[in-house]
Formats: sequence, C-alpha cells, structure tokens
Amino acid sequence: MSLFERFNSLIQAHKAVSACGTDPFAVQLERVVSPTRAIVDGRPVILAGTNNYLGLTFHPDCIEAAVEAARSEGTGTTGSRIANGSYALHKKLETKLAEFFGRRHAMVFSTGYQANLGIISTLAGPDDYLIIDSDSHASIYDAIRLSSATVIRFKHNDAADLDKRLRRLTDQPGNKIIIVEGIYSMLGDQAPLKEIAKVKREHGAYLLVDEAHSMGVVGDHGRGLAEQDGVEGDVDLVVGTFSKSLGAVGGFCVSDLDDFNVLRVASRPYMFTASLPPSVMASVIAALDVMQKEPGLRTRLWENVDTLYDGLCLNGFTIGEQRGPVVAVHVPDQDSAVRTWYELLQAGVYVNLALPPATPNGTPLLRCSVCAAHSREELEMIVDTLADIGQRNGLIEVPAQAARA
Amino acid sequence: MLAPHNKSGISIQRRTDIMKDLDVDSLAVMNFIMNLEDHFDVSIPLNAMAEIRTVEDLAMIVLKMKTESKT
Repeated sequence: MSLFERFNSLIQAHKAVSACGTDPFAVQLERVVSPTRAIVDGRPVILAGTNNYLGLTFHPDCIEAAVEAARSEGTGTTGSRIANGSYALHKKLETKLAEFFGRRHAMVFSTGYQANLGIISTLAGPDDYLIIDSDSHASIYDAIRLSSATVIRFKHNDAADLDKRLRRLTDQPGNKIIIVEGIYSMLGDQAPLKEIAKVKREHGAYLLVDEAHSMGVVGDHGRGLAEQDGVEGDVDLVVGTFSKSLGAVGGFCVSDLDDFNVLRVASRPYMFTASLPPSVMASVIAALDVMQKEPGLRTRLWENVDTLYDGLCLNGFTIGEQRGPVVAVHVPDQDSAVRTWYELLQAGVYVNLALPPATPNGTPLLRCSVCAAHSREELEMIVDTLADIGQRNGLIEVPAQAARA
Repeated sequence: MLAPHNKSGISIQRRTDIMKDLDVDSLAVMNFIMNLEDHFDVSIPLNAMAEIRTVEDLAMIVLKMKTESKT
C-alpha cells in the first residue's frame, strides 16, 4: 500500500476543486504591491481576502522598524528562548503587549497557531475540563489533542448550552476552562461574551478568549471583544495573533493569573521552537504604536465594512448575519463556489474560498475580509464584480431590469 | 434518533457501525451526538468519540456518563 493511499479521497477532492482552472489552495501572489493590491498571473488583482484589517503591512513606521532591527540585530534568532536566550526585543514586545491590554503578564509565540497550541494544551491537566465552542479554530482543536484534559464541546455561541454542560460537571473537582473566540474566522460572527462571562462567573470557571480576528478591530482601544462587551475583568486569558490587524506573524497570550510565567518552562510549543526574528518583533512593536496613535484606522475599517456589507446585501447575497470585517458570502453548493471564486480571480478580485469541513454547517463560503486601506472604488469594484459573476453562477437573482434587457 | 440517517432502511442493531452503515458524515454525526446529549442530559467528551464506532459503543458511553454524573 502506498504511503498516501489513505488520502485518496482527499486527492480526488483536491483534483476536482483544481479543475476550475487553478488550485484555490495554492494561489500565487506574484507580487504584493500594497495592502489591497497584488499581481496574480501577470494581472492586477484587488485583495479582499487577507485578514490585513488595518492595512499595516506597508505602514512606513513598521517597515522602517523591521529594516532597522534586521540591520542591527540580524535576520533570525536561530533558536528557542529557553535554550538560546531572549533578545531585548522579546522583553520589550511582551512589556508593550501587557501594557496595551492592562495585564501583568504577556508571553509571545512564533505564530498565532502556536499560541493556542502552547497555552491551551498546557493550561489543563488530566483532571481538568476544556469546554470549547463547537466552531473553534483548528488551532484550538489541535491544542486539545495535545492536552490531557477532558474536552467538552458546546453549541456554537450558545451560552445556555454552555451553562447546561457546566452544570453537568458541578460535582467534578477539576478546573473548568471555557474557550471562545472574539470573532469567528469563517462567518465573522462574535461570541455572546457578556452571557458567556455570566455563565463563567456562576460556575467558577476560567475563561480564555481568542481575539485573533477582533484585536484592533473592536473595542474603543482595539483590545477586542472583551473590551467592547465590558467584560475584560472576567477574561482570565487573552490569546491573539500578530498576523492580522498587526500585519506581521506571531502570537501571544496575556493574563493576570498568578504564576502565569511557569508556562515558559512547561509549554512545549513555546519551549521547543525558534523564537520570533528581530525584524518581526520590531514591526509588531511599531504596529502596536500605530494602532494606538491612529484610531482613525478602525473608523475607516468600519466604514469600509458598511460599504461592502451593504453593497452585498443590496445585491441579494446571503451573507453572515453579523456585520464585521469578515464578510462571508454563502454559496449553495461547492461547484458554484469554486467556479465563482475562480471567475472572481480572473476578473481581478481575490477572495478566500472556504469549503466544508473547514466551514460551519457544511456551507461553502466566499470569504471576504475588509481592510482599512481599501478605497471606496476598490470596494465598489469588489461588490460589482461579485454581483456580476454571482448572478451568472446563480448565487443571486438577475435584477428585474437586467432580465428585461 | 438515528432514523433520519437511515435512508437505506436497514435494521439498526447493536453492532451497526454508525459511520459506515448509516448515511452520516462527520458533520452529521456531530449534530446527532449533540441531540443525543440533550436527550439524555449528558456531555460526551470529545476524547471518547474516537472510540465510538457502533451503536453499542455509543450506548455504553452514554450509560457510563450517566452513571458518573450521579455519583
């Protein structure tokens, strides 16, 4: 038996999807020229699937900081922090993050995925319970596989179901740790964090919120959903990433819990991987400053969200119920999703194709993400192109006037 | 509760393999489990799911969780 024979159905599915003309999971961005523009197949394309919510990837302060750090401290750390040592920049970045969130402790990881892996897998022991939302990101699902705790899923965004499941555990002695996300990455919906915090308090549980898609996006200061919903005091641990609104790569966790720093010598995904390079840390530190100094970026992001969300609604698309920078267009079947996605790319609009089982409820999605740097013209172009191609592929009805013509 | 997933109308026995013999994919099985959890007022840990293949395995897990929650 060949080594990859057990992947036969995956190989077939991948081939079928790539038959549209290109492999949707290996798009070549030949050259990215701005937060919202790239060259693909020699043609200019508008980027509407980047998670680059504040558009900071090309901010001059961030670029200068990265260049300067690479020049002065080299290209990489070539090792882990426990074995090869921490740079001053690691400490500076952690101090900045702790200050930003108003927490005592901060720990940075080499990716957001590893932050979830490292924190969640280590927090709970064999007698403890991890209670996770059923729509959790893959990094959370992978973290629980590394953990020795008992794992219970509750219905997506359903605080009553969470309450019921915690009630069933009332007589169990172990710690109960609830894990939710600020904004869910596929449909862009927000957790009902006030209700969840209430349930958490009633049951004496702990609460971890992954603010990967909500940091810099919601809350008056950009601290995420916990800030927006006024429940930061109930959130014991915030996990986040540098690869979305902060425009780089890396992950972090902040907390006020005593002895939090023991994780530095207990969390294997933290201990046994190379730490972030100086250039990345410098650009993230600069991005944190920019985010705080320019709250107008967030205002612009939400204006852009309105333009895209309302534009798609007006054209009759079925989109995620909650308005936000992740705008997920629902497509009835996989073939039309793949075809529409491909035609959009050919027409100069890049969105993310998201297919089951990576999407909730088995719905294929054309996932758009909004950027503060999108111009009005770019957003109108995205809406018009989607309307045109969506119509041809049966995603929306042909408007009455066009039908007569 | 498995009836909606039994399109071919086979007789569901203890040994019936939930994924192989019935019309359920991984998504449908998760939704079915959640309904079952509501029905019996138990939470089946995700860790235990990998070992569930047959209707009997599932029944044993539900029984086990019911007994544990009473003690």
